Amino acid sequence: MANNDPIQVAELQARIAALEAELAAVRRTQSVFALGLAHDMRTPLRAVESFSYLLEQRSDTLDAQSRDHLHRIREASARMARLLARMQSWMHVGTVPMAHGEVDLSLLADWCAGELRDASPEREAMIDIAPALRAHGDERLLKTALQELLHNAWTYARPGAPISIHVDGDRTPDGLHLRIRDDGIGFDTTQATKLGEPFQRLHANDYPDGCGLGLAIARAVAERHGGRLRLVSTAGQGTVAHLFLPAHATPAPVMETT
Amino acid sequence: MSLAPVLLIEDNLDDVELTRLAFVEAGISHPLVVANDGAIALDWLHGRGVHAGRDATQLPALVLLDLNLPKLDGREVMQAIRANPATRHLPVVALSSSGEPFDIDTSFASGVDSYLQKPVEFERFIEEMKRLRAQWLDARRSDQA
Repeated sequence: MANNDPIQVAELQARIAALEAELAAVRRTQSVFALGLAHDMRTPLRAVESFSYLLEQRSDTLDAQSRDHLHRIREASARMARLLARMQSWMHVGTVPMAHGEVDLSLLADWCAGELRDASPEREAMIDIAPALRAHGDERLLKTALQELLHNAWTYARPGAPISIHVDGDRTPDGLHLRIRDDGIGFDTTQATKLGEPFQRLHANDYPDGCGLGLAIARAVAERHGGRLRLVSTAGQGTVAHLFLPAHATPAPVMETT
Repeated sequence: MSLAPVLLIEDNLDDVELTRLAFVEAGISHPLVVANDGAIALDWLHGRGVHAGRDATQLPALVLLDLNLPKLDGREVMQAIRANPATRHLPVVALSSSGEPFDIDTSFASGVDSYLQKPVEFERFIEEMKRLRAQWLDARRSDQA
């Protein structure tokens, strides 16, 4: 039964306002910290990357063990550079001002599929994209989300088997329900309660190049559109990413920066 | 005739060394003059303070300006360069590790002619220096010839 006691309602509203203010403060701190980290770490990383590159140009003057150590430094700095770039992407999708319009997701998905094929032309892949999948939102952000979801489907295909990805969706009165379905290695849903949060990785041992930010980026894009991302998977049988986008985006608040 | 120098305003000594090396790789033969903070850079440009006696009519061919500087911020240095009739028309390229739209927008608002995000990879930095040479050094030399 609904509680109409005006005193209790006022107390609850005050409590909600206090929690929202607290949440905004936490988000602001996280945002400033992450931006500072991604920005200020570039300078020392640049020194490590550049001077080790210059040393590598003269590696014939080094003994075998020194060359091995140098190779490890180069690999580590390349990993760090990828991680920083991914962190900046994640921060970017959370803070960039949005431009709203009608977006052709079929076209964007086709574009993303082309980029994946170009990057790995040796992989046999069948990517089937339904036509006329349209949504209201920010084209660049939605392309980023599709890039991440298709990249995940591509990356976690079964080793040695042709890649198979299907993109389709349903238009409902509430908006668009987009599905990206693969028949890859999948994952155990019970192990994935935090999937979509930054740095959550399920296949870290087999895929060490991942950063655990791809799904976090896709989820952030969904949430900025007032939508959501859900993953359904069975280990060994593939994954379906469900992206829900409302008919008229009611954007989530931008992560604040100073 | 000797080439006018490029003035690099940069406090990070690693970045100074990398810029020197990238100049060599990019075939830039202009001498590199380094100022480690904004106040020293303005002294050099105007022949005053620690650079009293330098002929201030000898302007650099190009200024490379880091944005995060001690004493005077890069944007303040930029405003001082644009406010002085003697240096108002100097070509200035901002160098920064930031690719944030806020930093890019405020740099252009302060008067820089171009903005270059310092790449992490040295090979890409060399490519950027080659582009910079073509756009700001070689093209201007042929204009003046």
